[in-house]
This record gives sequence, C-alpha cells and structure tokens, in this order.
Amino acid sequence: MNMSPSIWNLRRRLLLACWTLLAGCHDAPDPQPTDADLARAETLRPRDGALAAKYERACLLCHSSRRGAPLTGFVPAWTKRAKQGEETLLAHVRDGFNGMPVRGLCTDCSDDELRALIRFMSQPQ
Amino acid sequence: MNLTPRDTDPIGLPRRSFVVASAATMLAGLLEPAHAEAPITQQAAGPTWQNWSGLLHARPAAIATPANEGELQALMARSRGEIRPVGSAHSSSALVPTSGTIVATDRMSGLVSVDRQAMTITAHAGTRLGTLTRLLDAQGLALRNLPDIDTQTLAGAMSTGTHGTGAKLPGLHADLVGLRIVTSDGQVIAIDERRNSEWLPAARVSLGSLGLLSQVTLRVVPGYNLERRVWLLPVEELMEKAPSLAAKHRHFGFFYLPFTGFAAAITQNIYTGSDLVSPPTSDNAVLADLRRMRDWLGHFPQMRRWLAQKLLGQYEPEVERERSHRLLAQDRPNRFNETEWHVPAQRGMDCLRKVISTLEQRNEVFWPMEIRFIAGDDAWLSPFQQDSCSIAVQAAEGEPHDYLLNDFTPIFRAYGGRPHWGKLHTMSATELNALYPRWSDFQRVRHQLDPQGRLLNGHLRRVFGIT
Repeated sequence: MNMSPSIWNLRRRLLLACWTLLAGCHDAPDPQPTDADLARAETLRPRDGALAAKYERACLLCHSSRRGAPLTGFVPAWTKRAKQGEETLLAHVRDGFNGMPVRGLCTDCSDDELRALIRFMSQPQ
Repeated sequence: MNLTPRDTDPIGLPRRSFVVASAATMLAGLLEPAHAEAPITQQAAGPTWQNWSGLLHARPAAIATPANEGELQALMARSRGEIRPVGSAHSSSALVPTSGTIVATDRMSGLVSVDRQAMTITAHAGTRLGTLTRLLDAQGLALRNLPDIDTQTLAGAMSTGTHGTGAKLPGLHADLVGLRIVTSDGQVIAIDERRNSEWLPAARVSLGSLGLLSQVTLRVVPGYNLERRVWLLPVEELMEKAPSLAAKHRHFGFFYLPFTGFAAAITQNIYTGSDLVSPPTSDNAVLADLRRMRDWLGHFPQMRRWLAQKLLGQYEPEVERERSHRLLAQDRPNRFNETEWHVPAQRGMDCLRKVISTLEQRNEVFWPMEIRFIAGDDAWLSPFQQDSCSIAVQAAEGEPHDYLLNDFTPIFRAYGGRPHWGKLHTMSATELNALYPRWSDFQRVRHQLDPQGRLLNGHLRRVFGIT
C-alpha cells in the first residue's frame, strides 16, 4: 500500500494518541504477590477446624493462586477492598460481585462464617 | 518511539496468556440460613438461587446440603416433589431452577480412594475439579485433561459433558469408569463395568436426570508438567493452520478477537524439565481494553480494526511452564452468557468463518470467541460422538445476548452441530432425537430409574419432550 508520509505520520499520531488514552484508563492494578506469598497462602488455614474445612472447599482454589482473587494473607491486595468496610465485602460475597460467585461457593456458610472467612483472608497471618 | 510490547503492552495484551475470553471462574453458591448441619434448610422468605452469570433465578421450596451419601439418600427418600442438583451453578441452560428442592453437593467433597494399580481414583461427587487436581497432584497423579475453569464439581462436569481442548483427548466423562447414584426414591445404585454396566453409557452424561451422583471413579494419569505457548496471528492464517496444529499438539485451541482480524493461538504440551515459570496474568486488563475499544470505536469498525491490528501486531509470543492443573484451568473473573456448539471437526473452520462474519455484523460485540477441539466418545448423550470442534460465542453479563441464540443456532445446526448441555440453546426433543442415535435408549433408562420424573424440571421436560 502506498501512503504519503504526511498521511502515515497522521496515522502514527492517531495510534499513539489512542494508545496513550487506552493505557491511561486502566484501573490501578492489584499489587502482585511474590512466589513466596503464593507458597505461604497455600498453607494458611483458619484456626477453627469447621471453618477451615469450608475455606478449603470453597475459598482456597481462587484465593491461594494467581487467579485474580485477592490472595489470602497478602494484605496489599486487600487494602483497597477493606476500605469499603466489612458489610460491603460481606454483601459482595453474599450476592456475588465480579469474579466472586454468589455466597463464595459456600452453600452452607452463615453470614457470620462468611465474615470470619473475610477477616481470615484479609488480615496478616 | 520504540515500542517494546512486553514492557509497554499498548492495549494491555497478555503478558502471560491470552485466555481472555471466557470469563467468570466461579460459580454459584446458594442462599441459605445459618443451620449448616441441617440437610434441608429454609429461609423465612424462602431461599433464592441464581446461576453464576446471574441470568437464571429460582425460588425453590428448599435448598438442601447433604454432607454424605447417607444424608442424600434420606433426603431423596423423604422429600416430595421436584428435585434438581446443583454443583457450581455454572450452567447457562436452565438445568437447575425448580420450585421444588435444589440439592447442593458441595459438602460431599474429597477423595475416597486411590487405586494405583488400576490408575483410578474415587471421589465424592461434590468435589470441585480444582480441589481434586490439588489432591491428586499431592499424590503424583493428574486428570488427563481439564476444562478451562476448574470450579465445577465432578457431578456437574460429568453430567453436562464438560470438556477441555485436545484433538486426541475426549471430554471428562470418557474417563468415568464408575459412579454411585442415589435415585429419586432413595436407592443407592452402583454403576460400573461389573455392576449395572448396561447403564454406564447413559450415566456418563445424564444431565442429572437418572439420580444424584454421590461418588465417581475416574481414570487418572501420572502427574505432569505442561509448556504453554501463546501467540497472535491473523485469524485467516490460523484457521488454515488449525487442523495441523490440533493434530500436532496435545492441547490446541484459540480465541478470536472480534473486529481485530487477529486470534490468539494456545498450544500446551508435556514438559519434562523442572524450570517452571508462571508470570502474573493481565487477562482482566485485556478484556477491559477490548471492551473499551468497542465503546469508543464501535461505530467505526474499520478504524477499530485498523487500530487493533496496529497494536496487536506488536505482540510477542509467551511461554509458561507449570503443573498441568495450574495451566489447563485459568482465571475467569468476568461473567458472561454463552452458547457453545460442537460441530464435526472437519467442518469446524468453515463453520467458524460463517460465525465470525455473522458476529461482526454487530458492532457492539467485543467478547472473544473460544474455539477448542475434542476427541469423540460413545456416551449416549455425549455431544462428542465424533471428533469435534467446539465454538463458543459469549456476551458480557448485563449486555444483550438474545442474538447468541437467534443468529447462531441456524448456522451451527446447518453444520451438524450439537449444543453444549450447560450452555444456552433452544433445541427441542425432536431435534435432539435426530442428532443422538441412542436418544430413546437414554429415555428408557431415565424412565426406569426415575419413573415419576421427580428429577425433571421445566427445562428438562422440554429438552426430553415429556409433557
């Protein structure tokens, strides 16, 4: 394809402008855990045995890997979420929110248990 | 300016993988009060249920959460009316909604036994695939293949013909060698090669209509690593190469990015080295960028395509090496509604060309399409009774999705397609009967095991043609 230099420069400028605009609109990404953070998250469990069982079958899959859900015990990923308040986080779990499935895949969890699981995952261990 | 894609990533294309398409990992839980130990629980205002995409809702009389086969048996024997099982509520088709009892199997989780000589394992049917693969990995074992998400329960995955990609690898149900079901009158029935073997081809994919699964026995393989390669290329070029790529690689699939002309090819093969590498994902940013390009340039498809091609042309191939279960299943943090059809493999690319040209008549579309390859098997309701190419068309949660059915059903049907049982479709019993040679045999077994039809909801009655 033959294009005059002026047209080509115009296209390059447009491309650059679009790229800058697109890049500038990204939400701030979550802090990325290290491999050590991930390895540690794999080992963390609630102290209460019954809660630990529910954590293992409902929460562990997504909250102990690089799957986008905030990592258990990795506080930087929870900071902006914690600012919304526990009741908001509970509502997100109870009703589903973005990748969080309704009731966090824990059919038999009470609201109190969901609160306890949120605290366990979001606080330093 | 010298753009280095891996550093600058102009529109946020994946630094790790390009599995942007499907979204939503996860699935549904069910609303329920605090009495965790009770097999049946009810709320004052009545429990509510919804699937993971939020498309399907129900107000069942009760949501039951049996902890084991005994509780499930007691529940089935004493309950009255319609009963439907739910695993992770990932299905877009209305397999679960009922005004009767929804039975959630997620408390029935974990390994029961491992037979290393036979290379089979038995697990409780509510075990999530991701939970199972972790347990297996700890024992040096793995599943032969996995779907691209792993939050489904074994029961849900088997019952709906869930599949991964790999032209020589069948759906998960093909590795099912035995199962235990609890029928609607509370009987426990073992089905395997020695006991009630005549029911095995019906039970491998049953839509939860024969009984509720309590345990499954599966073939497994020694644990393995995979190397995953992702690269972008023009979709026409990829469609030309697709048959040979599918034949050459253990796993091959791709995503088409609408209004870009590009597709992301993904191959995965056994890796015997120990230098595993798993960089962070930026899939969420990719999907957000595709949406943004749609929002801004949707009315100017030529400009959208031009911009996308300029930017996508900068992309570098990526390589990742990890344990098989960590690579095969990925994160899907965004919800969507979906139709997915399985067409004969040799007709797959011709069908895809027609689907793409139809899809791109809608400027609002941005969600990538997923294309996978599956080997045939002989389960009576398996949609893969021949080697198949699976084509999934998806629409973001909250956006119009009627066109998924209206526009694409005629195309897929013209190419001999069968719908995924867990995805949106409008196929009637008459149409399905014509596609499945053992359809009436399945119905005979279903009637034998559930003569009163207690395991049928409205959707299944329509699908099975039962008035």
